[in-house]
Amino acid sequence: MKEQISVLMDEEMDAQSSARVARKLTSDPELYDCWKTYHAIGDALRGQGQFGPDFRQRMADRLAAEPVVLAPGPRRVFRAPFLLPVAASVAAAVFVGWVALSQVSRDPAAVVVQPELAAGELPPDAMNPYLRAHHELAWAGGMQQAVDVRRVAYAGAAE
Amino acid sequence: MRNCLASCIFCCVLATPAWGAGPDGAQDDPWILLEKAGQAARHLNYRGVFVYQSGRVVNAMQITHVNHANDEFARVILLDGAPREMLRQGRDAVIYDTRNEKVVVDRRMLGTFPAALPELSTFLRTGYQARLGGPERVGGRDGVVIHLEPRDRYRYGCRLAVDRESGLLLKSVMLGERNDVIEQVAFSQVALMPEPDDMNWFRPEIDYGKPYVMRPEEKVMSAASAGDRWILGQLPPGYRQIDRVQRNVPGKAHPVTQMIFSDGIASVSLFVEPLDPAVPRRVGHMLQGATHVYANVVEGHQLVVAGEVPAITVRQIAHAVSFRK
Repeated sequence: MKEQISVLMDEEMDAQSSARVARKLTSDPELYDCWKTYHAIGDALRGQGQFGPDFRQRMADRLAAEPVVLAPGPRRVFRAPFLLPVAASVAAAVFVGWVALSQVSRDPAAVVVQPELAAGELPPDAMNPYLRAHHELAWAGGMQQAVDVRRVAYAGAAE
Repeated sequence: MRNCLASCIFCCVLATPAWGAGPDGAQDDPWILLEKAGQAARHLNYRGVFVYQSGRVVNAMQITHVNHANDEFARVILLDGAPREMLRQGRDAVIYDTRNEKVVVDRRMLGTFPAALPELSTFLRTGYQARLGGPERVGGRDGVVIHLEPRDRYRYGCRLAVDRESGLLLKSVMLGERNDVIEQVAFSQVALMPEPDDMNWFRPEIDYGKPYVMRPEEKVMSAASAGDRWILGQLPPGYRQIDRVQRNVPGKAHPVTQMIFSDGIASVSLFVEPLDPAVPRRVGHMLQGATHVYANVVEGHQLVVAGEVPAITVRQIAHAVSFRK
């Protein structure tokens, strides 16, 4: 059922199944919690976590304070794209082949050897995007704590 | 069911003999301990405060790590200076960073970790000798010290402390040639915990009153090596390719190829991109924290190599790149 919830959130479900899952969601508190959890994850990773934990209450308070408008407004359909497909994260991890264990290449066509050019200090501001990109993908034998920490420590570096 | 799955993982972890402090030998083998530490970092639920130190930089960060439905969630909050934090699911992450009167939101979707990496201990053996040290108490937990001594000058030494009970990495110290501390990351306080009931903890708490600015997003996708004009020769011993991606960087005319190498604990990135007349060419060295950077220009291409390794390693990896005529 949880997989169906993530499929529903990824908008990959037909109308009939959606209605069935939605009915289950509203009648089963545990599934409803699961639905909310997936949305919280999605919001946070879309950079939309700024609403805060009490967003719903604050919104309700503001709505209550608004004057009532009786004329019908234009009808809008709001589609929140769930950019991170939850199905992908819930489903079994996709097997990515281990490639190129050995980096040794003996291509005779390679004739240009690097000149000994590099000398002097690099300007840190210009190199920060590369450092950030490096910290994003660095692999420390699965012990990623140090990688996470570096990423946050240097995220504020200027460009 | 979610809680059931989490507690299963937790129980399995605790039930595996090597985790216990039993006198059955597993606790005496540094390679087995390292292997377990790699798994514990991903599977355990914990919250604590990390202190990061490198040169004159000292930062305290609160980290919450949860394994939910076999997926990794982490929230890292910088505790000093302007508010900043990172939320990460697997390799997808968002960093919220307060700058002046704005909150800059930097989002990066990187997909899953490459699967089928070799066993960590197999990986590490080429570059390091492992030796068990004594007990060390870190962040209120009883740890066991593992020394990773480099077999050559292409990597730094490491002193790790892992939790005796769970295998969680409590402390890692990177050591230079003269045993000088290059970088240190250690828990000042940590607690293992059951999986939280909800994901309410997984949201940023940055100043809601400030305007949020989304940084232009870099598209990152995995990339095959087909069609390259350049080839990579011999890497320094023990280093293997972990991943290869292509980055479409906003403002750059050409995509940047990034290859990531690791010797099991140290990581190096190689960037290759065609020169852009609008961007100044970069040639030289620099050091940020424990990370050495080396840049060179060859055959109309900008090369940049960055990693938590000695200067000679980044330089040698840059020089392993050659171009077809």
